[in-house]
Amino acid sequence: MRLLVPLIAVALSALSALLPVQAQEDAPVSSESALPVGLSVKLDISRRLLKNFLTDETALIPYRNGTETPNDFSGAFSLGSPKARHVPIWDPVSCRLVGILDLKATDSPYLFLAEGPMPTSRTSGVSGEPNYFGMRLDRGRPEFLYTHGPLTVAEMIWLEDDGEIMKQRFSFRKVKGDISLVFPASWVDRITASSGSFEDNVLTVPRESAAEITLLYRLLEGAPESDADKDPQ
Amino acid sequence: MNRYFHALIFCSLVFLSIGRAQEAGEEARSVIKITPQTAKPSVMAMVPFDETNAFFLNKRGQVGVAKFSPGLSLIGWEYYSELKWNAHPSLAVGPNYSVIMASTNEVTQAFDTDADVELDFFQALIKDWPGRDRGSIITAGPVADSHGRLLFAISAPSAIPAGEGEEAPVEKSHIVAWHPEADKLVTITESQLPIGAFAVDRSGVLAARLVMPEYKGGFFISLTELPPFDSDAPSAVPTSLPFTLPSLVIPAELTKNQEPTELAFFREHGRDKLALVCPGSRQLIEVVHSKIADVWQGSILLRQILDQSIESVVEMGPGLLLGGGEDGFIPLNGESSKFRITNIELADDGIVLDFSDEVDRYEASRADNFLVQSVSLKGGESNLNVVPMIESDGRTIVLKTGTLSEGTVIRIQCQRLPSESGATLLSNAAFYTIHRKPSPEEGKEKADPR
Repeated sequence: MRLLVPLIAVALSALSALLPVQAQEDAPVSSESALPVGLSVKLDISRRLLKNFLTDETALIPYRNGTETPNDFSGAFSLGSPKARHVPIWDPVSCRLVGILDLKATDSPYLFLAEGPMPTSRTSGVSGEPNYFGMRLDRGRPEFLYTHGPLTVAEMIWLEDDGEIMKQRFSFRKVKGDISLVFPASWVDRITASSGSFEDNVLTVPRESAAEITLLYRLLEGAPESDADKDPQ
Repeated sequence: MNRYFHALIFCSLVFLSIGRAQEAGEEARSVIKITPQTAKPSVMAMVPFDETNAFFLNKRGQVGVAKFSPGLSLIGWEYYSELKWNAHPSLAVGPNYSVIMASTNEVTQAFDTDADVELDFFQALIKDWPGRDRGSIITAGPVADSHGRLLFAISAPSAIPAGEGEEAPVEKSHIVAWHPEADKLVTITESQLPIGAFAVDRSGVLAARLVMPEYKGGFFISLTELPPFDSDAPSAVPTSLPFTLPSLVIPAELTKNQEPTELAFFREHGRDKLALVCPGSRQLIEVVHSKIADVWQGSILLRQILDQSIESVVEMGPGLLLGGGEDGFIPLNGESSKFRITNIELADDGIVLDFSDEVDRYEASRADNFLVQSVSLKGGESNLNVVPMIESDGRTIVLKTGTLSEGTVIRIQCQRLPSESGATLLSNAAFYTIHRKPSPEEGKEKADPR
């Protein structure tokens, strides 16, 4: 009785929604290899209620409720680790990385704060609000699954090198044109993309590379891209 | 996959990882040994998937799986997911050992897609419901019912501002049902008070704990029957929506002023009962409910005082209760061995009290050992004259009080009533809420359940 047998159909439909992300028609080229690969940090993933810390008016739009106080993050994913000083926070309401906390910061704890429209909003044909439908774990790394207009997006986030490096991998399927991703202007200098090119704060990636776009964030200012680049002395 | 998972269930101390490898035409099974655990998990919620295995949620929001002996001793446990989920203390089991949980803004179904005994896909199953855009949140659930539906409680949304001269509509809390073949959520009951927790029994009786913090005298439990479900029309809106009214007041006196939190139906001696946990006082309350003239009412009794505090309770098998709390799992096997009142029924001209053991006949025959008060639900109380009569088995006392009034709570205090062997009562107070009096036929039937 307790087994919800009718739910089988839903389970299967959920998996069918998931599988195309794993086995895309356009076989992904491992663009991660285009970036230095550091030592992955085992993430401690939690979903929690957090006070809304966003300050940018455009980024706050999904949280507006008709009052002066925006909605809090009611189920944000916090991706921490005892080893890492940085904690990326991804929120399913706006389907984006909303912030990165710096646990050792002496002033503001927010190393990174979302600004402007969501990253995929500049891609041709994309409009409206994103729609989160789930999260999967791949080798301990969370991959957030959502749609934004015609785009089906899988966005994975993880930390490397004791949390000095954050990586964010976007996987798009069945795309019809180039992908444009927009980032906070102040962060462009600290982001390296596996493919595409930046113009101001917009990264444009050709359609053929859209199956896997990996971004490397240097969370410590002046930090090398990976341990391999560090001076052994 | 199911076959393999069942192998887990029957292999003592062996926890299954579902293998996909083929060997000699049969799938090989990889296993993970459960390390004997000295650490006890904290247990905030449990849901059994058979009589000796259960999923649980710990205080950090992680899902675990635990295996028990038939007597409910813990054999071992493992994490099923180490993700920390801000979930309400309630779990439901989905197909293929998926786990369903709810937080304020989402019902999530978690799957083990790669069959390695770790949840790895967390689907946002339900993110929208009536009133969500006006601040309605999930307050309790999910609970699975016998129709394959998931039920969860949502708070009243903020009111739509009324026009000038108009009265703002009173917004209500609801319990809604989700069915995989329905194209929308179906509201199955509504309530003026927020719903803090609820349970559903096999026959579709809903027990809901209503939140009313400003009332200090007790804690409200509502009992209603869910509207009928038509599997051919799963989206059909019930023609008549039951309203979740406070059916029973659990007196604060019985819980030592501590709020009952979670509740569970169970069946014992052929009767459906309701167990409520009070973590703050370690009391386990038992409600023996009955339906008279379409209204639910019943007796409210202290079942057990536990050595450790428990946060949740489930029925693992008929009459087999398992508690869970900070100190892990606590079998609540059978009834307390303590001498206690086990049931109250209404008779034509009084009250029938059942005891777990023979009473001291001398003390039981003394009217001044009983104080019976009739407390009106509208206010006011009166003491009733009592003439006690002891049944021949010594385990039942009929208190002749004359006619009892509807709309009252009967408070029975057995002021000095030891058992035949000298044991003192677990609680000398017990309560019965009367909304309707039974007809003479019902009364006779209720008074003698045999």
